[in-house]
Amino acid sequence: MADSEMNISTQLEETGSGEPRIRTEELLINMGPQHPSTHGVLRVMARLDGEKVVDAWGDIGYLHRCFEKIAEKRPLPAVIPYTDRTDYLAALSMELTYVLAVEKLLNIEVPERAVYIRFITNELQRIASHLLWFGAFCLDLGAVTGFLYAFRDREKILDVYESLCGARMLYNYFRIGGVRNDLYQGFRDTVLRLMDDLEKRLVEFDNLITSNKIFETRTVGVGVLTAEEAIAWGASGPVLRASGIPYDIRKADPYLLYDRYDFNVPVGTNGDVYDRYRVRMAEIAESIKLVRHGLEDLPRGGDIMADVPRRLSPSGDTYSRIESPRGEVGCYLVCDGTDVAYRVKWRSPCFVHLQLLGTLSRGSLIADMVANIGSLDIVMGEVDR
Amino acid sequence: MVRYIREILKTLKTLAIGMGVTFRNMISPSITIHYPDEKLDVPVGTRGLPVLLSDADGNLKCVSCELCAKACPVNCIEIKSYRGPNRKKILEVYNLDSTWCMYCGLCVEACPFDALAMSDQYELADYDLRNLVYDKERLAEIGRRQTTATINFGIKTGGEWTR
Amino acid sequence: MRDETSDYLTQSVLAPDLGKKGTGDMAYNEKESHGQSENMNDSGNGVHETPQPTPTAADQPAETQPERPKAEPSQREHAVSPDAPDEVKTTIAALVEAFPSLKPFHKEDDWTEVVVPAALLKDVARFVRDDERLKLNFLSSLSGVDYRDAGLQVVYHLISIPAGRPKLIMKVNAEGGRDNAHVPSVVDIWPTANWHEREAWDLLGIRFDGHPNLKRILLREDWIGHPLRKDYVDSRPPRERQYKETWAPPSDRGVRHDES
Repeated sequence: MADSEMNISTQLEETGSGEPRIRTEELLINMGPQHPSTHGVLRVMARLDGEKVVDAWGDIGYLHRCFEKIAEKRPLPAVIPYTDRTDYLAALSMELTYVLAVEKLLNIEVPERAVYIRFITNELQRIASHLLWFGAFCLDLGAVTGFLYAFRDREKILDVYESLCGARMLYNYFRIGGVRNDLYQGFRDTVLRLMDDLEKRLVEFDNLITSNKIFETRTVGVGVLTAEEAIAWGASGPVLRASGIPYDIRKADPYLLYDRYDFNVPVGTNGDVYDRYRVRMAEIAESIKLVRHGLEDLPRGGDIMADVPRRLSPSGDTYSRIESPRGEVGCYLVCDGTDVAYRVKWRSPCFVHLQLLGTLSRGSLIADMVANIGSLDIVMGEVDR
Repeated sequence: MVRYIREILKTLKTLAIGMGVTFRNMISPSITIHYPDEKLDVPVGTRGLPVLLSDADGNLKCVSCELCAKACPVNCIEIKSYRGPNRKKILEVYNLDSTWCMYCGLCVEACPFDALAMSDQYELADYDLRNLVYDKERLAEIGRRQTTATINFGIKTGGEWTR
Repeated sequence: MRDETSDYLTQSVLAPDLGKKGTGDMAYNEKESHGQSENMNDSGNGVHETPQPTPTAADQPAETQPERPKAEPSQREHAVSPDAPDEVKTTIAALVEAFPSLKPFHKEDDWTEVVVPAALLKDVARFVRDDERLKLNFLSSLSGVDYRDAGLQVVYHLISIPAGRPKLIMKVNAEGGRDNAHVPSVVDIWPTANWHEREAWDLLGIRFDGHPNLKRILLREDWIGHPLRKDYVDSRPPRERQYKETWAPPSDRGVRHDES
């Protein structure tokens, strides 16, 4: 559009008719804070030249609760429900980060069964989170059907969680030194059946979306992030791997049981939106494998809680990192010998990824910005904390 | 030109595959629940409103040790007690502000006397904010509706809703 | 076409992130963004909810919180135990070779820790990123910590990607006291530090010299004080509980209201 206008004005000038009557200028638009495709209260501002994005940046903080300050005021175990609320779509990953940090400071050895339960539930969480992402991403691109199917399947995982921990999203399930309660009767069969079911579903999703020409046109070559950019901007998780860097904390720095089981780290080549989609879908398949492994080797019986002193008094500082569905979550925990943390710093992947918005969108069309935001898998609770 | 036609054919083919998936799902049974009319059965242990449990005689099990209030991250439980005859603590006030409560269940875990449990009451909306502060009597009343054993710190209360 | 007022408005709307204009090629226009930020402050849209002058975080003694044992940033001897992982030994050797004044030590697992003086930070940062042995190209986290009287500290967690190691913790004690804590910015070395540093400024009040757009990121522009400081006092009124008149009156047991 801009080009044609430019042509007119140059024509006018060439014919010597004086000042061009039509001129183009950059337009500043706001997306959000309440916009269906911004995944929460994210305000995106973009400067446009016609339909082309000249620059885009996010304005965050609408969901800020100062989680880190709250964590400095509550006893260590009472912070766990708050960690849920940072990334409410992968709450168990958040709990795990925090719990691992505290356990590291206290040198607590978690019982084998509890480790297995953590491992299985955490991978289930990854599947649930990626399914939700898939649904929301389809919705961003206008494919409502995919959204409904993904939510239907995620719901089954949430049912498992509800029977297990009593809540569907904010589980409050991990404890310092173990887990809250044991698995329920029939957990193994339910989950195994669910995994079989999901495998079929993945094929279905593949047929529905992956090869779809419209989907390809909307995603291939859009929002390209090179490997160098990805590292420099601190991208992690699927966003980093889609750019072709095989870095996964589960492999590089194994926690829980990831060093015991073999799994692939899916890696993209182009670093575009399509690759990010492919990486996530491949990760679901890997997670299904891991859940099956975990359930196979799950010790029958045994403790689920370590002997944790009634009054916790860790001191020192530590940094625990895990691979959440969205990327690298870190918890920098400083304790000073009381039962309240001195400082909790949350390294959230979405906060870091949101900085990429400008890099991804610059030069692309405004309609592709929706795909870009969607492909980063933003959870505002985690960005604003 | 050939490429163009091939593109069109490919598009049509992928669309047909996608529509096939949609069609298969269309004829498969619906899983939608029409919520206010029919309700899903929530499992025991679902964390709804925390309630006070009573013993067989109908007396509250609570001994006002205030451990639940101390464990609560949002400080939504308020307990007041006095020393009765033979120095026993008697519970006078037990207020649970459900507008603050985040249903984390830490109070129930902290209770050493099993006097608290998470009920399956989840329809807690009200027009008046003040109705959402549950006092001792109301919590005990819901607790007396218990229909199951306490599993994972939770009980079922038989599908009746607090009003 | 556009008169002066509309131009001004557009600019102030633009202001929050003008500095990001050149983020792609990492060429920041520092002067421009600073000019814009002043404009923003002048416009004073008057959304202060707390009219009474809130004392700045620094001159308010920490009375509301119990005194804690001071967690002094420690600086241990740089002795490498023989059972330390190889990459820790390499990291320590490389660091000591380039900067003899530094005392890196083995922290835990395969983390190396080093306390870097603020004046040396840029050099060390550039060195650890570019050195062939270290290649710490991934800034995992940048955390500010308030150690009360011991001052403010910034902690950098660095990892080399894709190998995942070596890993380095850099601790930098801010210069200039609590009121005017300064740390050099590392945005030009790791662009990802941009928002991390803004967050540290927003919540802890650590100024990062050379940051292209150091403004509040999570809180409102007109927020007073830096909440994550240990001596921060929330000036907002406490939240009251609402009771039914017939029910028990509010007890005198303190209602905690440190957060909303």
